[in-house]
Amino acid sequence: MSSNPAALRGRSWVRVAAVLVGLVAAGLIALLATRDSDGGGIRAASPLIGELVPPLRGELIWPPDSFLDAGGAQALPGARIGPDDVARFDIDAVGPLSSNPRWVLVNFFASWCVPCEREHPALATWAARHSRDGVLVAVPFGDRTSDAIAFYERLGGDWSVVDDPDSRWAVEFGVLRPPESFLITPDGIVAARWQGQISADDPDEVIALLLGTAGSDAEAQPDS
Amino acid sequence: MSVSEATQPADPTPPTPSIRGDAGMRRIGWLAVAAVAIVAAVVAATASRPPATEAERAYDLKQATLCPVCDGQSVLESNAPAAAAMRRQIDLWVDAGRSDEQIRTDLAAAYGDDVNALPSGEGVGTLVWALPVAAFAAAAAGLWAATRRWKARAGAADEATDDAGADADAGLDPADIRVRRGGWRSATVVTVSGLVLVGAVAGVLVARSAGLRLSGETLTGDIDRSARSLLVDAQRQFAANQLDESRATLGEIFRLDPDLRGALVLSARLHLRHCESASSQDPSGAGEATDAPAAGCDLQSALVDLDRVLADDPSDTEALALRGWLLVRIPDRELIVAGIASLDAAVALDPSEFDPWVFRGYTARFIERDLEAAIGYYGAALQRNPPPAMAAALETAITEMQAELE
Repeated sequence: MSSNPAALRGRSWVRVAAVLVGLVAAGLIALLATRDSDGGGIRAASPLIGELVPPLRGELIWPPDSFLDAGGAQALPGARIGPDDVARFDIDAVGPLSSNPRWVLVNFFASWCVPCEREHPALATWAARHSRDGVLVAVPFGDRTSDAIAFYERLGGDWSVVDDPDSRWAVEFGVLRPPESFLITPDGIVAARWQGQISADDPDEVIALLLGTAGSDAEAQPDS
Repeated sequence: MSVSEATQPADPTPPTPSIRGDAGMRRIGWLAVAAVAIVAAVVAATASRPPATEAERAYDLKQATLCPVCDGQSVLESNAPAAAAMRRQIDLWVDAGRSDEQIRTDLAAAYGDDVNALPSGEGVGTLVWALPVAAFAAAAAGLWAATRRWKARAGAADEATDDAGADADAGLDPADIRVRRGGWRSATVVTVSGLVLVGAVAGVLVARSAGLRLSGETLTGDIDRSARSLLVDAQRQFAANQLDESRATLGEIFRLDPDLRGALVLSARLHLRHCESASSQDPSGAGEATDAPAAGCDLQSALVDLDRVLADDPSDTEALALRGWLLVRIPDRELIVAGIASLDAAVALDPSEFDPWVFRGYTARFIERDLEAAIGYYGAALQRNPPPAMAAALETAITEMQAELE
């Protein structure tokens, strides 16, 4: 408005600042837009990786009693019906000291979580793929037990869902927000952690990687 | 003031006594305020007594743990599911008797060291503690230097006015009155800020010494549905012979903590009680006990419970004794031998409870037929304050056996 040279200088300074802010914002948008998004879960760091898995065990809230009563508990790896007639999952039953150590994929989910619902088919695929050498166990996190059961009634799934009423396992695993998945080797070591929706291939890539390494180790130490 | 006095040249006419008195009083006031503040600060820093209740300990821990999914909130404040989970676990861990250090380590093992709001005093973490102290020291030093300069300047001004009114009566000199009024004003500022400081320190002290427990609250505060508090209920129900209620409470406990030793032992006792209630009226349960099992009597479950306790702690005398007691009454040679070994192990640990000795004595008397040993075990049981009915039964048994020996 004013032709005062001082005011003009002030205006050009404002213009430079505005352009700078605009550039930074544009850069941020570009960064966020090109970032790897929902496609696969993000492999995340965790202090647990390389450590022994926490001794995950607890009451089963899924599959339903009818399935377990029909002898399904025997077919469900890691699950047993105790003397008090309550079916429980015990990770030791598929761990290194068991007769058949397996890969364990622990999946923390919530019924209110959209990515959890989206990743459900991937979990089913993985469970079917590893019916012999793996076991999938799901744990509700930040959810009501009844809602978690309803979630599985709606979406199905023939793997164990372990109740975690006190969030004990969520804390032991350091879960931040659902969905979150942990891959445990047959030796009972936490090998990987994913935050967010995973595909069935995500854990398998890690398994292939580890089996490759494990293979060369076995050759190096034939008597182990 | 010593500064202004020092900068003053050797003047034969000393400053008026009223000004000097004012300065002395002000200095004493300053010193008093500083002394109170320092003492209060030291007391506040060192008098951090341990939390008064378990709930308070849990509260402190939650306050000192950062929510891993929120910015700058502690798990105490956050509504995130992760924070709720951590709060619940901290309650349970505190209730289970874990130390603050253990809980912090466990949380850091799962979430990383960043959840710890109180960084350790090692490595780079030292900076967090050292920087504020350094900043405070620098500020104090700067303030001190500044006051020195002001005073030096004020001294110079004093000198100037003294020179100007050298002949006048010092008490009536308008410049002097101005100086004195200025002194009075700064004394007010000092007093007010001193009071504010003392008030703030006192407030901090009161806040620190006040507990979180309200009247009528239990020692564990809002940690109500804990396995340990339920175990007390279950034991009370067992003592009152409300066996079904006790079993129901136990079920609730096992849902919370499947490995709670006290609960496992109580579970075994419950199974045994069903076996004994039908077969014996003897207060020790030491009657003709090898009968057919009664309804609800489940020796195998009792044995499973006890073995789990012993897997956790092989020297749990209560579990050893109960296990032995259970085994010796099954009419099977091998099991009886195993039971006696278990009882021997319990007795060898010299337990302060009387029942392992009673069980061992009973076994010696009726199964091994070693009356002298039985008298010894019963005598040991008598020395461990059994209830009167049990003491009487033991004394009768000892007399009977002594008669039999003769």
